[in-house]
Amino acid sequence: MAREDYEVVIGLEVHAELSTKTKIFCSCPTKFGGMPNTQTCPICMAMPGTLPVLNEKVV
Amino acid sequence: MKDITELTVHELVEKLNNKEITAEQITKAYADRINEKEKDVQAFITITADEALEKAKKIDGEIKDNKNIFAGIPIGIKDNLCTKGVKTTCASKMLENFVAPYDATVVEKINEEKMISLGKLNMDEFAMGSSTENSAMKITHNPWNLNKVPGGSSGGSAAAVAADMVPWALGSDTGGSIREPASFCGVVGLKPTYGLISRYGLVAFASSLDQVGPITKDVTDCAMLLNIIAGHDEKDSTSANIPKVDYTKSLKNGVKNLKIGVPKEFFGEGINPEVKAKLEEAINIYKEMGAEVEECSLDVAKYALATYYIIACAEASSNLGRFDGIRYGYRTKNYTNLKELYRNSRSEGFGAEVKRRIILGTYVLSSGYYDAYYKKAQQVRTFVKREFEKNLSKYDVLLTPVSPTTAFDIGAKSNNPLEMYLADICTVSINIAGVPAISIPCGVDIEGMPIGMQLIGNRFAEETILNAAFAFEQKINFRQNYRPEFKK
Ligand SMILES: [Zn+2]
Repeated sequence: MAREDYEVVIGLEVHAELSTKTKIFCSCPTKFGGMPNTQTCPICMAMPGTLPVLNEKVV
Repeated sequence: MKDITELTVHELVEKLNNKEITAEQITKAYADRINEKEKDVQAFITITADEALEKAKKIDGEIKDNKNIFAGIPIGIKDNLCTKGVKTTCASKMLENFVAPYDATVVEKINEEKMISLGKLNMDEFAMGSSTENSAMKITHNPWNLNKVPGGSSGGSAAAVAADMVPWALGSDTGGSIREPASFCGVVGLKPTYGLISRYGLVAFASSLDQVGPITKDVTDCAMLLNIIAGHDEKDSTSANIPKVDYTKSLKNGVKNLKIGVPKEFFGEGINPEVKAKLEEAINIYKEMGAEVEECSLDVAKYALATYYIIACAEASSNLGRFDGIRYGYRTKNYTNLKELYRNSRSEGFGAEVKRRIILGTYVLSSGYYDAYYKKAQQVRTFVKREFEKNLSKYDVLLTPVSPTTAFDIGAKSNNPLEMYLADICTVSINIAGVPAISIPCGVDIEGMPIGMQLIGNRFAEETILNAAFAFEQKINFRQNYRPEFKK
């Protein structure tokens, strides 16, 4: 294939750190330095049946 | 006196609160009944009768306050509602050993009432199906004739209520999954308005259509169970924040001057003549009771089935993406790299119908086909909603069959998915419109199989359809005249 047959597609994935007290879709804290598995819940584990609730502060 | 398991919940509650019977006696009676009938009906995936008996004894020992009139009343739960500490399988190999670390909101509400779960009930895998034959665990048999399907996907719930193995049960309805099995098993089933009941803890199939609802022996029980499970939940952003209603209060108003619309499209080709005849009898009964009945048109209903399968499959393909064999659920033993782990876990964990819908859903969402299918389906959805709104501004209630036929033989449609999808033709448009509908028995066919009638109401007008159903039920006394025979 010649070079001109290629089409350039550029995607940007932007990661922004939230400055909220809790996560974006559940009420787990976003604090740093806690013990492993203490800031998690069925929602952020995407357990079957759970539903996300959007953090108002993010909007 | 009738056997304990033959009583409705409102009868049980009365006896329990008058201290004529104890919670232990009730639970024991149901445990014995399950023991006797489960081998024929196969309604349960998990039976928790032993734990239930312990709970019942404890409740009998406690001082009863008037707040908990349902304390000690047993219930059965469809196996796609999460229960802390008890397996929630969705009748799938994928979740065969899954134990949720939390209770669904409706399960929490049941526990707050101190009701007692007798176990988890069989269903089509991930609620995808109309006969419960898509369960990876077992085939449930219709208590009226054991060679026939109980309907689906809440087939275990409907069969268990019909067989008196539970006094009432919770189901879920995405395109008819409460109403069709209720119709096939001769019990009452309500698909509430989208948003009336929290979906938190209901394993999602199609999130914009799914709704939890009651399956009961009669309309009064249906109103009572709705009272318990309805209400706003912060954990479900689609749950409506509306004032609480006592649905039992609406049940004695009669149907004089009630405006009933009969959409002619639901009585056309493909509807079994016996079903049609029974529905016509029902219409006459309503007329005799003083309702104003008129033919109307829901022309757009003919597009509902195709629209439903596009939307439902699209949402399913997205909802079921999480089952990758990593965090929970089935993991293949057969892999050498990550891609194989994903692929083989999903290939081995999901059944044929679930895979079919994931593939269909992925296809309609893929670029190049999105506009032709998914976007178009969403546009049709708006039309369906509008046509329902138009009819429901003119009529209080719309009356239709629940299913074109009565329960079919086990195996009769299991190799023909399209024919199976047609079983939902009278129910799917209601989910698309988001309105409530109830299925109640209105008679039996020549083989003695129950025929269901569907009453559709406006958004959050559950009181209206419950009352219309109640008036009819009082008139025909279905439960007094017909009982399941466990025919072999
Ligand atoms: Zn969390």
